[in-house]
Amino acid sequence: MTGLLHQQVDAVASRAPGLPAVQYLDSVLDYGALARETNRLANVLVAEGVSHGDRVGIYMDKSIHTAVALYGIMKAGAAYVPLDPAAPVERIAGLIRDCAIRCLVTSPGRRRVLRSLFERETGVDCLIGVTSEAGLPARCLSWQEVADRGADSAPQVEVRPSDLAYIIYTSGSTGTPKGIMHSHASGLAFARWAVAEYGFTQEDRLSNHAPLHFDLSIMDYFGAAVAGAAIVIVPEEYTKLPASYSKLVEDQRITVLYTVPFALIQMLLRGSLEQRDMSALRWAIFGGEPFPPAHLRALMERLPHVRFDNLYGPAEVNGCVHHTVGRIDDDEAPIPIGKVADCADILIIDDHDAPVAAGEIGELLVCTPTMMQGYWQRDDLNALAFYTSTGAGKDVYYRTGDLVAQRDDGLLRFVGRMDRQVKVRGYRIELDEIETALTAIDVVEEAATYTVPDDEGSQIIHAQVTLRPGADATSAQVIKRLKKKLSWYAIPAKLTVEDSFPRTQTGKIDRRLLRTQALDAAGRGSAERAHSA
Amino acid sequence: MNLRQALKDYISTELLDDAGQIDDDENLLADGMVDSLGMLRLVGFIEETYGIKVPPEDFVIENFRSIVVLDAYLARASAGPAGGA
Repeated sequence: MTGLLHQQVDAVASRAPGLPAVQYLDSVLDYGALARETNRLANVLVAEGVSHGDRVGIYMDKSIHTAVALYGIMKAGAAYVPLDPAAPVERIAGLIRDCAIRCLVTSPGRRRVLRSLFERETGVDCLIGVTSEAGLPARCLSWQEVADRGADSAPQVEVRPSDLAYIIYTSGSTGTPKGIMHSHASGLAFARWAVAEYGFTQEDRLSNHAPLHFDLSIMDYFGAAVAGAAIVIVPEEYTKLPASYSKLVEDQRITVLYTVPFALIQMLLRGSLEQRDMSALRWAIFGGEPFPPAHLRALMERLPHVRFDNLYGPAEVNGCVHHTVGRIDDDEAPIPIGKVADCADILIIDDHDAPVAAGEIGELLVCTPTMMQGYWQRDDLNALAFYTSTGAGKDVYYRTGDLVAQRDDGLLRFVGRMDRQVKVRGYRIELDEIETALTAIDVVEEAATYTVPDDEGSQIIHAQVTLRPGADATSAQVIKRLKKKLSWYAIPAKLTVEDSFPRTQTGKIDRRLLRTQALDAAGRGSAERAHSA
Repeated sequence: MNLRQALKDYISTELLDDAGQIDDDENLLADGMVDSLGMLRLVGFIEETYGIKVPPEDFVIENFRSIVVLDAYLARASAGPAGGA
C-alpha cells in the first residue's frame, strides 16, 4: 500500500536508504535517516496526545527539520498546517484557533513571537523544536529530546488516502483566511503527475524556493519523494539576494527550479549569471502569475540548455495545466498557460454555466484527482466553489474564477480574474480582504485598493483611505496598524490619505478611475491602454 | 551622522516601519525582517545617497546580512574602485 504521502519516503528508504533526501546548506539527511527521524517525531507526537485527524502547525524558519516536521506529522495520522513565519502574530493566532491546533513544530528563531503568541488564547500547549529553557508556557521538546524519546519504528496509526494531509491557508475576500484541505490522495496524484510529466528521477535535485505555506512547496517536497530525488531547501536569506541564490543553485548542483517569475527575473537581472556554472540545471518551472515574455526570452537566451515551463493551477487543484515554452518571437504576446494534464478535465463556461463557443472567453472549471476536499469548516464557500456536471458521471469541478480562452492551437491562454483576486510576486491576495482590514482600523472611514504594474514583472498594490470625521492619522500610521493584521505581501506599497473618493453613478468608489489616475501619474496609462486594445 | 547610524535609521523607519531599533549584528534577512523588495530599496538608497554603485556580484548575503557587514562592505567599496576607469 503506497497511497500515502509519507509512504513515498519509506518506500525509497527501504530500497535505497543512502540516497540523499533533504539538503539544507551543509546538512544532509538521506532517505534512511529521514524515515527514522520522521518516525521518531511521529511517536513523540502520538505520546503528546496528537491523534488521527488532528491538525499540527509548522511554524518554523526553514531548516533541515522542515522536512522531518511535515512527514512526521503525517505519520502520526495528523494533517500539517504551515504558518507563515513572517506573518503578524495576530494572524497566526487566528489560524491556530480556526483549525484548533494544539501542537506546533517550531524553531528557536520564533521564540520572541511565540512569547507574544502565548499572551493570546490559542489552545497551544505543546512545542516541538525548542527547549524548555525558552520559558514558554507549554510542554517543550527539543529535536535532541525527540531523537532520544521517539522510537525508530513508525507508530501504529491507520491512515487512509482520503484522510486530510495538509491545510494551506489563503486570502479570503471577507477578511478571513480560508484553509484549503488536501488529502493524501490529491497531494500524491499531483506529485505523481509532475514526476511523470517532467521526468524527475533519483538523480534530480529539486530546489525548494517557496516557503511551506505557499503551495509551490507541494511539488518540491512530494515530487522529490515520489522520484527518490533530493530536495534542496533554499534558506530564506538566499531567496532575498539573487546573486547568492544563483550561487546556491550552482554549488548545490540543483537540477529543477520551481518558483515565481519574480525570483527568476531577479536572477536574470541581478544574479551574476555570466559568472555561474548552471550546467546541472535542466528545468525552470514557474507559476503563480504571468511571466513577462521579454524577460523570459532573455533568461532563455542566457540559459539555452534549460527547459522552461509555465505551470498553472490554483492551490485548490494543484497544477493542472502547463506549457513548455518554445521560441518567443513576440515580446508582447503573453505566454499561454498551455494544455490540460492528462488526469484532468476542464470546462470553459459562461455566466449561465453553459459552455462557451470555441475560442471565446469563459471561466475555467477543473475536474481532477489533484483537487482539494474543500475549505476547512466553510460550508458557505464550499457551496459556491464546486460545480457538478449534469452528465452521467456527475463529475465535480472546481470553479477557478479565472477567465481563459482556448487558442486555435488548443493551448489555453489566461485572460484575467472574475473577481478582485490579485497576484503579487506569486502570492494570492483578495483586494477585498485588504479593504476590510483597512476599514476595521478605527480612524479609517472608507478604503479603496487596486494594483498597478511594477517594473519587475509583477504588480504592486496601491491603497487610498478617507478618515472618520475628526480623526487624524498619517499614511505611515495606517500602514503600521495594517501590518499587525495582514501578511507582508498584502501590505500596499503605497497608501495615501484622501479627503474624498471619486464615485460612480451608483455612488460606489470609482476604483477604476483611481487606478487610471495612478497609471497616468506613473506615465504608463497610455502604454497600458494601447496594450489592452 | 555616520553611515552606520544612517543605514540603521533607514532600515528601521523605511523598511521595518519603526518596528524598534535594530542591533548592529541582527540578521536583516531573517523571516519577518527585510523582504526581497526591501533589499532592492536598500540598494537604491545606498546608491542614491552615497553615490556608491553596488554591482550585482556584490549584492550578496556576505555583504548585506547585517549592519556590521554592510558597513564594512561600503567602507571597502567607497575606498576606491577595485578596477576600471
